[in-house]
Amino acid sequence: MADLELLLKSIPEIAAMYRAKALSPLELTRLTLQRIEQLNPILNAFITITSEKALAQAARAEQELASGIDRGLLHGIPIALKDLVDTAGTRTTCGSSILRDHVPEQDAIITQRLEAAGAVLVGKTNLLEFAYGIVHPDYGQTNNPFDPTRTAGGSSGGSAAAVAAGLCFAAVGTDTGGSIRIPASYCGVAGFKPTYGLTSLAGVFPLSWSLDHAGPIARSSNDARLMLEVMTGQKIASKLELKGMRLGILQREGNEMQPEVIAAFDAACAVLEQAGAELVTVIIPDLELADAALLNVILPEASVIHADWLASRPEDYAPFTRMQIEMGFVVPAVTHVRAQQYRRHLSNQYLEVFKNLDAILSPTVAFVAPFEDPVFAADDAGADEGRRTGPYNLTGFPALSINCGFGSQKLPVGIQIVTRPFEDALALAIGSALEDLMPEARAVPALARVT
Amino acid sequence: MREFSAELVLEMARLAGLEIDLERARDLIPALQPVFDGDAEIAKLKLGTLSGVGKPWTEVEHG
Repeated sequence: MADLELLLKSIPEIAAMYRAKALSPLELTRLTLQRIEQLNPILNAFITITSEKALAQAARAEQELASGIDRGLLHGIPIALKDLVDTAGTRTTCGSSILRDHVPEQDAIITQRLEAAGAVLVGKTNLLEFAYGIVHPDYGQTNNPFDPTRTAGGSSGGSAAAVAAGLCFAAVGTDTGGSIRIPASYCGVAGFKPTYGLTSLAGVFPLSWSLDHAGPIARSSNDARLMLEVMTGQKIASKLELKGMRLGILQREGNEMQPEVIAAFDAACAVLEQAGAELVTVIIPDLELADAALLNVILPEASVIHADWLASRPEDYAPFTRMQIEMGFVVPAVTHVRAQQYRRHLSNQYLEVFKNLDAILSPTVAFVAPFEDPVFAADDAGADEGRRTGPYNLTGFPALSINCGFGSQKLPVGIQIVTRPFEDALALAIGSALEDLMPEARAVPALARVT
Repeated sequence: MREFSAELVLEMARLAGLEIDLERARDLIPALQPVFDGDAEIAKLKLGTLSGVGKPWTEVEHG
């Protein structure tokens, strides 16, 4: 079997090969590390490559599997972590100059869980500075595997690009306004933001405590589900019958929408309809205020987190990140609390609509991958970018982005599937079903085929 | 639209513990304007005693 094919297989396929002794964790990890060495100069997906640690973990997995110790499907599988997830003994930079040499003493809880499941950590992935404003010039933008002149998206762009290009089988991202789902959409992979609080954030550097989520990025909804099971320590499974399911269509339109995105989204909806789902257009009252509310929550929370560094070393931030942190000091407490009230109001509006629905569908982002990440702010392209993802950071509802097709320049288009709180398994099951119905949407970037 | 000056931005930042000069305060105004405009729109919802703490959704059944 060609090496490249191995690197693009699903996690269960690799797990089966390990157990049939057709492949070993050390072989696959060496191959993965070679591929990272080859493609990372183009993609800039990794800040730190943990070759030595990965080979040691792979050797251990190999030995354990050979002696009958089986830690589950992630045993011996190469994965990556966004570089704001703590790894004991391995630097965790948060994509910043400030933490350039920071080496945590303890692992994050999700790091511990993934390592306990036998996953092999091949590296720490690139991100926007502190997952916030913009890419720090010390690290540079993560490039998109489908077109390296474009961005992989933010802030978990390194994780999404690495997964899409076959530089790991899955990765952890974090999402405060869309930072898992936006890069997943741009890179054509599955990115899942779980229900708020479902995954531990202990040892994950915060951006905005009340909006932050950690979740998986993988090449399929099922691989993301397997990652989520390990990250949460819970069984994540749902039976699904598309026939008779009621799905709401939301935010299909808008001035910012590219026609090619609408076309791909409509095609996916048509496939679901043909499979027996009933599709209805829905409206969420007051949803138009979500952009403002998201900003009014993030700004002051992030400023509290960064207050000491802003006072002592402001020049070490990228200029736009610094400006955003300064802005947060000017947001009154009442503005923040009102935005928090709005979140509960918005959730109630959604739950009312959900009384007659199983899930809500929307395009993940209004456009395909741009050349650069738009800055996160109100009334500009940054707000446009997060308009369809931010509402689920505000409400905390689970939201999955999977690829549903390609635009005119062969760039991926994401569809977002949203369910009620704690119906994470249902969102992932709908994602899997749609992936099965649209195999043409699982295309691999040409870059990942280059030998 | 609530209008505000660089002096006011500087004072509000100072009250929250951040010292910036007047020029930086002035530079923040264009980005802050939509924040306050958005807040004014949210205020119009008159959310009254709706709590702003705890999980962001009201109780739902889950297995």
